[in-house]
Amino acid sequence: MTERNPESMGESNRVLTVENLTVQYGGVPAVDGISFHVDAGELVGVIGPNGAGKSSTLLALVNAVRSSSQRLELSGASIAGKAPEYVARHGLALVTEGHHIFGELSVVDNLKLGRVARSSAAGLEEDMEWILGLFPILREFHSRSAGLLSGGQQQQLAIARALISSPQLLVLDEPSLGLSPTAVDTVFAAIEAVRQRGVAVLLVEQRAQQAVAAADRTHVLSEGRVTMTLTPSDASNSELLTKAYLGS
Amino acid sequence: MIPLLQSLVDAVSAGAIYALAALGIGLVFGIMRLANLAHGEIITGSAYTLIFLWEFSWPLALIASAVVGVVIALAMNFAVFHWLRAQSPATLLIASFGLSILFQRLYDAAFGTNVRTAPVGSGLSQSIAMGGIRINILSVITIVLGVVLLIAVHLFLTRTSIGLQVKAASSDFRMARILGVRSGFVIAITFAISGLLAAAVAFALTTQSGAVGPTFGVQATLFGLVGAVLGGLSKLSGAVVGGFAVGVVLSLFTSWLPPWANDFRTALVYVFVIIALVVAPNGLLAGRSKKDRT
Ligand SMILES: Nc1ncnc2c1ncn2[C@@H]1O[C@H](COP(=O)(O)OP(=O)(O)O)[C@@H](O)[C@H]1O
Ligand SMILES: [Mg+2]
Repeated sequence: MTERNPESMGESNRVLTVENLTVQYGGVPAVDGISFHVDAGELVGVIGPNGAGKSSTLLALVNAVRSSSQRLELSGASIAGKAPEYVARHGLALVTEGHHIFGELSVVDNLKLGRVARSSAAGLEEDMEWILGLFPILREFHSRSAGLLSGGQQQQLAIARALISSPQLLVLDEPSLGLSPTAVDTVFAAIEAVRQRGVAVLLVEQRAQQAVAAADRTHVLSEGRVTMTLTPSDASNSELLTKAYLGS
Repeated sequence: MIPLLQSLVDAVSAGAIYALAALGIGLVFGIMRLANLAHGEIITGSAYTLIFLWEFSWPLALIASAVVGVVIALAMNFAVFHWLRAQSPATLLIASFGLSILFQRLYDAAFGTNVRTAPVGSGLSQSIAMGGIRINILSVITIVLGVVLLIAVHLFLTRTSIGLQVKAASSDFRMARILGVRSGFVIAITFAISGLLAAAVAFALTTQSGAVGPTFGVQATLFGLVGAVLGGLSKLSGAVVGGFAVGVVLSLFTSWLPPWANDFRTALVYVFVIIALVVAPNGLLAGRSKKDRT
């Protein structure tokens, strides 16, 4: 386990800054003053047991739950207290836990909704080609009702829809949850491709080992606090990962 | 006895009116979980506009009544419902009930309790003879108007980006916002469309009666709402079919029931509705598997 000095990189290429974020439900803190950041081109992981506050953290970023913080910035501009649609239109694409596709709409219509947050139509064709290259199944099933897709296909659709907005930061909440092994591989390969393309990624995952190996650094969240920060070299240290989950 | 085909045409025309009312109510319910009882007062506002302007200039009257419908609907949204967006459906329903009463009082104060009259669409209330039966031109025009508007709303919802956003927000409001859909905008658009639909209902109804009073829109709204609930408020097509069915049944009762029973036709419709809702509590056409989110 190593610590990185967050100041060493400067903040010029900082995509997301979170300082002292707190989320409470009925006075009970679910997220208890956490701080982290994501720089351009980085993949940052968040792992932790059920109920640790991972989803609450992500929902707080887009203000889909009430939160308080010292700083909440997207590319240097404050997003604290801004409406979810504002945050989306300023470059943060969130794929929620359980992915929430629109089941009664076709695959194409779901994808079209990804364009809503996109700032310009320039480059849409190329982006679309790239995205459908990551998830060929969506091209095949483009006119099918999204509700008829399998869980893994729906997850792919949700990620594709998020990518069409051409975000600066892609935020994923347990994208591998309930997926078949093949679908998990497709999703992780896509995440790697997204990072290769220079899009910053914030990844909440259950598969701790896989997440830690893929991410530049992975924060372990327990009872609403960051208890550890792991680097890829920790991925093979199963003792440490187990400890991370038990909440050291 | 009124010939079968003629009464069928009249029934379909009544069905078209209530289908439009149910669609306007269903659209707003979809995006707001608001069963807007004040929808009738939008209809009334548009109807007064038709009555007052018709003899001056009928094209102006048509345009103005549409504008008035949209303006009243938007005003209701921005003055009341916008502030209650996070409240429960029950709270919204009660607020709309209050708004409905308020508007009725305002109409009463402004235009009096007695009906105002004008020969709206009088040129249309002739019948044409076709092979021994007489068909009312007005009924045909109402049916055409209904079909055109239903198709227009369908195309808007399925073929335009804004329509797609309205659909998305209706099915999962939070996810739609996370995708960048502007909540205030899609709600305003939906109210505006419900205002337009209310104006269409106002036109169809005023051409029939030529008389408008403060509670003019109440019946259409009540039956539209009943139809929408019957068909399943959570699904627009269900609401439309439900509204249509209520209109058809009401109209057939009027033509076929013996005169003494006609006083009970509204009660009979409700008996129908109660039976239907006991059989299918979520509406006759609601999907079985899908649980409504709260
Ligand atoms: N809408 C909510 N209302 C009340 N409590 C909630 C709500 N959402 C989450 N919680 C609680 O907050 C804590 C953190 O939940 P969550 O952020 O979903 O954790 P994770 O995603 O890490 O499993 C849990 O104890 C959970 O029960
Ligand atoms: Mg979670």
